Amino acid sequence: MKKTKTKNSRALKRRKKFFKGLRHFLLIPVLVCVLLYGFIFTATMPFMSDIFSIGSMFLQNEDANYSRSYENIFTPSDNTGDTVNADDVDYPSIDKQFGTLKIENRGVDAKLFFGDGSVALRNGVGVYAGSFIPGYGKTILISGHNNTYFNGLKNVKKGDIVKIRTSYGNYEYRINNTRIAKADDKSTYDLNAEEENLIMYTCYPFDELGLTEQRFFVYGEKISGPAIVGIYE
Amino acid sequence: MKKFFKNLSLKKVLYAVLTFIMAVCIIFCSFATVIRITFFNGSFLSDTLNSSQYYKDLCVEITENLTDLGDASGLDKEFFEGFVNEVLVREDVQTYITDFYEGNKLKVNTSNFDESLQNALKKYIKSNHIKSVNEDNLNYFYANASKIYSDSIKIKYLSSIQDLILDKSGPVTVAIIVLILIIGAVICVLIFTNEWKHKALRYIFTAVNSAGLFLLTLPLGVFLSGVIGHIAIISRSLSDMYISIINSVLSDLIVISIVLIVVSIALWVIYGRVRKKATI
Repeated sequence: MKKTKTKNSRALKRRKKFFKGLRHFLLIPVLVCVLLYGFIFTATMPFMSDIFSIGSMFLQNEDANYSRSYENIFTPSDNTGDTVNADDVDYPSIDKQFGTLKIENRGVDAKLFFGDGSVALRNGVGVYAGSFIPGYGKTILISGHNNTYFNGLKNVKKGDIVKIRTSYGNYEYRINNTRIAKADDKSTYDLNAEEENLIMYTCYPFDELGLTEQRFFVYGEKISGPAIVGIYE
Repeated sequence: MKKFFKNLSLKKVLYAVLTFIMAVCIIFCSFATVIRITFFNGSFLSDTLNSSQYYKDLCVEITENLTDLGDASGLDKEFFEGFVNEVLVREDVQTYITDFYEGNKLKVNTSNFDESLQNALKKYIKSNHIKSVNEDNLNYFYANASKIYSDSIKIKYLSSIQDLILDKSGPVTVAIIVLILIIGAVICVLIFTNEWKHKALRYIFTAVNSAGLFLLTLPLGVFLSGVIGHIAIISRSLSDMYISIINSVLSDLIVISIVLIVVSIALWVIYGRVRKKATI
């Protein structure tokens, strides 16, 4: 009986010692560590908010993608109506192909992108992001390289038809004018125009080696295609 | 709880505060040391670039951008294939880093690139039998190509922190020394004012161990959150470079934390022996 009691008290002592050791070895350092987080977070809060806001500029929700491929949201449409609801228009984001542009018998047949950066001009022609997509009733400003996809612009004549196909409708524009101007000539386009008009431009002269300072502008008026309605509702 | 407050003397509170101060000093000292051996160290950046895919990616990007320019300038797509010389790119980036750490004006010397581009284009004109060439257009093209090259050699965002790096290099070293002195002073106070040396060892153990845990959990948290994979900066080469730098910094912090935890375990063992002696 006495032996068992001594055994029990020894085991109790050992357990107590173990938990005391555990407290000093693990629990207290962990507690201090948590306190350190609280202290350092509070102390550096004024700088940290700046660091976090700067850091967030370099972060995105998905993994970074530097692929040179582009997204194509264009699927041929059979919309023959006069209007299309804004809700049914998949508005393209930068560098996405959302249509095609063609001028029959003039050697112009290109993929149409939103934005006129290197992705667009490498693979086709691009709508300047500060202008509008077809159907908006405003100016559509499209650029392309004069040695590649817009080389055929050198052959266009007044009255030629430009066909733009998008997922929400097919559009036709009649060429009514061409013009050669300096690259920085702001009078060559009006982005605030109230009627839908197409402006295509490329570097000029055509087939020239090097970068040129002049631009060749082709102007077109809308003949057909659905107007986007309910944009501001 | 009552027992806890009954046993709590002013001395114990003071020792707890000193332990906490010591842990904070160890953490800041570790951060300062890592910053000193990484950002403030010219060879760190060179080594990071050499050990990463930076130069390979950079050459690909320069070629792609030049090919786009060639597209706009009436050149064949093949013109820039193999044109960008990795050795030249390495030399120019290295010069840029050296200038950065020596406080020189950050400018890329593109004379070698310009010369080889002009030679290649002359050859191209000759082999393609191009008769009429407008010199203005060619010069405009050369200027743009040169700009693409020099913009690529420059390590983005680095130029904006050049002054900070150069100005703060000295103060960071001083801060490390001051923090080490404070840590030393706290250790002395704990040892010499404590009647029982093993208790002093326990306080030092707690400071070292908790600082080690802090420095281990912080980088591990960053790694596990996957936030590094979401860094997106202009180009692949630049992103890879900054990710390599961040990984190096976090790895250094983990190494320091492991050293601290090992030291703390050694202190715990010594504490156990000293305590045994004291109780005998």
